[in-house]
Amino acid sequence: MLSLQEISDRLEIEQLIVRYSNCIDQRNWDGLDQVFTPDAYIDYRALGGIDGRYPQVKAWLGPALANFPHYCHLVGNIEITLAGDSASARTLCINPMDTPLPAGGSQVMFLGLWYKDKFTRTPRGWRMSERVEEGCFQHNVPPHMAIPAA
Amino acid sequence: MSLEELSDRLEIRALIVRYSNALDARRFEWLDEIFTPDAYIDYRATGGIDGTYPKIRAWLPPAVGAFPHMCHLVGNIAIELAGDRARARTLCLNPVEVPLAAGGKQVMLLAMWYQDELLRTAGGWRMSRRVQDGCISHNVPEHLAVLAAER
Repeated sequence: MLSLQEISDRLEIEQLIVRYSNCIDQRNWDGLDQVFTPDAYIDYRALGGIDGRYPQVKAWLGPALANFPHYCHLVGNIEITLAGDSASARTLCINPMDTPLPAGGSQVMFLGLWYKDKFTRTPRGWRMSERVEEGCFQHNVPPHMAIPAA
Repeated sequence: MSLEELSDRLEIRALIVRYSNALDARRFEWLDEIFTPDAYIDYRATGGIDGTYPKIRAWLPPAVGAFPHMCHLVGNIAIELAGDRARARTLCLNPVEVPLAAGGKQVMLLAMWYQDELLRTAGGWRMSRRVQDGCISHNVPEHLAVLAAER
């Protein structure tokens, strides 16, 4: 049977994963300060982004996502492995993106990806210390968008 | 809810997610710790086979080998506990990238429910029965139209 501590840890980590999606989808970049450790490593290269430490990635996000008027990051299939004050998780994300077209109008593309995360317990709660994307399916991607084949 | 019921619900949810990850990451050996050895599995609603676990375990790798990328997103997990047994109904959205004979690829979107029966064993919760109940199929390539026709 899971202990109360383990149940609490699992629910807190799930909430952290959802909070990341909400910060990104509401363009609340400062909110990410409560998601990542200051030196977290983040790798968005599987879907055409950058990799680096949290401050560099935080500064990159706003301009990079300004090109997309509407999008969301639905997470599910969260599989968490706990190890005391650290943890890892694999999470599936379905990501519809409203993409403006060069000739006018827009097209919604659907990206599927997994997040491979590492977490650490800090005095202020669980934080993400690493997030690496792994690509899955890509549907309805406009020809002008450069996304590496997964 | 008691601590035991909370624990059972989280463990069963984790088992259902683990199944999706075993298929999507092609780690079929993980299935040995998801199903009981004599579990009954029925994939006929989406064009697959039915049978007991060893037969399904052998059938799966070549059957999904044709699809380079797919995922089985689960949600709406409704669990009914009854001591050392449980039932669950789970919705699954299943996008599958299908290579086309003429080149290129097409993403089809299938949806189904899993109707599961579960058992508490010495090694933790296991699935003793999983039967698919078909829902939508969208954008299925012509050469796979059998999937839709047989539903």
